[in-house]
Amino acid sequence: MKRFFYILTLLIISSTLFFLKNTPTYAQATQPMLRISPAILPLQLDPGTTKEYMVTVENLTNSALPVHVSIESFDSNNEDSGFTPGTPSEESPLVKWTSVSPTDLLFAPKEKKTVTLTVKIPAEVPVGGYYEMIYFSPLISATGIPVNSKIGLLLLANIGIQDDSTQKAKLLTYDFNKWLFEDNPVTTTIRIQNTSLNYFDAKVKLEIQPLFGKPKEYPLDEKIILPGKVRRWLVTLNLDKPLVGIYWSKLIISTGDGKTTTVVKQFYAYPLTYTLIIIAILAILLFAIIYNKRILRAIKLFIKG
Amino acid sequence: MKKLRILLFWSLFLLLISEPISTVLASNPASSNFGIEEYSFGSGGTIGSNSSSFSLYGISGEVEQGTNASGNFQLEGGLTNLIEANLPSAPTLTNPSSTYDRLKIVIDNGNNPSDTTFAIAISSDNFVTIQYVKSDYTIGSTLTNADWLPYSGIGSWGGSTGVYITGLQANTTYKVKVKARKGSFTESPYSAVASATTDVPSLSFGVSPTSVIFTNLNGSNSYTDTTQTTDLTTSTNAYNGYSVYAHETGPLTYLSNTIPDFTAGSASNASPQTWSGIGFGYTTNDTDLAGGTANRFSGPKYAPFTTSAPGDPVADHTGPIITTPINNETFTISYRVTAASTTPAGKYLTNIEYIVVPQY
Repeated sequence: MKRFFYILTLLIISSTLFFLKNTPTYAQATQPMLRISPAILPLQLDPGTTKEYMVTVENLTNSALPVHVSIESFDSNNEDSGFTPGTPSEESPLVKWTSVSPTDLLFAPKEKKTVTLTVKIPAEVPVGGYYEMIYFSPLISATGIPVNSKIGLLLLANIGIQDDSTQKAKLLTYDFNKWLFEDNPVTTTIRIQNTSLNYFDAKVKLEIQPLFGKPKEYPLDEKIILPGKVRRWLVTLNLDKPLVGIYWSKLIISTGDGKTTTVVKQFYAYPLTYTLIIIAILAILLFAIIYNKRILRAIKLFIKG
Repeated sequence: MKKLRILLFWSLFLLLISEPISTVLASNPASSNFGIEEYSFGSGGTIGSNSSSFSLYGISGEVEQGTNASGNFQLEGGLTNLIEANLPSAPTLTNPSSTYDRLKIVIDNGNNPSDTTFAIAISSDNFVTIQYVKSDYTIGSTLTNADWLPYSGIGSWGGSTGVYITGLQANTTYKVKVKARKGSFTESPYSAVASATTDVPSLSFGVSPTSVIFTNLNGSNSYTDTTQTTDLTTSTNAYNGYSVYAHETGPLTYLSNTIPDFTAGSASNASPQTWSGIGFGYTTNDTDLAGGTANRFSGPKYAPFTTSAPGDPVADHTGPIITTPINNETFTISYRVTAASTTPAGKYLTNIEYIVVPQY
């Protein structure tokens, strides 16, 4: 009996040690699992050429980690984020022209490896902007409901001659939500479309010139606009008080290389509600004074002494 | 008679000697080929020296000497003496937030007056190829008048705060130098050079734990478990930040039985609802989430997972990321499952996937 318990204890201890040694322990809550670099790859390519690019992938965990690499299109119609969740209506041809090697990797703990992206552009293609996402997926076995993850590498490619035209940004919307602002915030919506064949980085800023006072600049977020696509800026401004008078708002859109487009709009500011309330109070007081003899007499006595 | 003769003699004598003198005084220097027609002497070349035909004015080029003119020519005042702008010191070029496509430059005023303008040259090959920082702070191959900006104010180089030069290549060392000018022909030489290097855009992501195991759902816990969570941890230096999307492969399923997704009140990611009834859903602690009202999940409110990849936004950090890169930022997704009491016993499974992408 004693021997049985010794053997049982030994088995329990051995199996526990074995299990602990072989169960992958992945990153704790504050530690990412995988790093890719670069995460954004802008390319300038020519038809009929083949180019290779290196992507560094790093296992940040203390365990071995298998990773799968895949190439997918994405929908770019979301005007706010650019990236639209959901399956795109059509696959980008860049997906067919891109290959990855290797597509499956096994990382030792803390190991860094390189993946080669090869982009082979056919000799005859429509020049313009192309884009795709390269996904890196750790493969982790799990009990229970598996929680998987994917990291996307954004690949932006301009193929052919860069469009140097000055009018590649078309302003679709530049509206203030009111014509008269009584107080902050002042809000405006700006929508810009890329009418060129290449993507560009749109730098947008507002220059607000009040009737009284100095002008002030408000730089907005830069956004990459893909060919044919529209990006939107929802802007909320807190202008210097008092908010009174006419304001000229100059929108300056830069598409790079010093090329800018400028549009000016006006809006007005006045605390109308407060003014009406004060006028109403004064009117009531005036009415009360005029039509109340006692008050009138008291005022006369007060004035005459 | 005698006196008369003497008087006559001296008159004749004087007449004789005066004629040659006036003749000597009146005739001009001449040779057989050349002669000076007329001349006179003034007071040494200053204003007022003139004859009926010629005038001599002050020396041209001096201040306040008026205008030299004749019927055909006119001489204006001389060039104003111009002063070269002060040579600025080397600018400061840094990459304070490990960005990959921009560097921060702060130029030196060089004790120049406030209406002095400055131009910046930039190169990645030690000025074999020279580009210039344009008026919109991107780079271009030509320097135009519009690219000369003042030190501070609207449309300037940002004064002591500086500006970011954008549109740069990743993992590249750039050198910059600055020159000043104040009006025409006053351009200073270039300053000394400053350099800095752009980083590489990177994105790190992890989920923890990598599986969700609900407790046994039974009558004692009202067939409900709200204790399970997943932490999403992200690091990046992408200028516009990142977004995390989530989806499931299908409802919780055991054989042909399912626990449906949470749909009370037409719950969705854009419009999460307070929990009621049965189902499987999630909430997020990201209070600034894109895709609807920023703080829409607070309460908490729940939404069902979509089955369309890549899914709905569940966590994000939008840009601009300029001063500090995002480092190990964690958001927590909390799950809730409530099953009907008549749900057949079994191990109900699905797959949940989180996808992180850099924003652009």
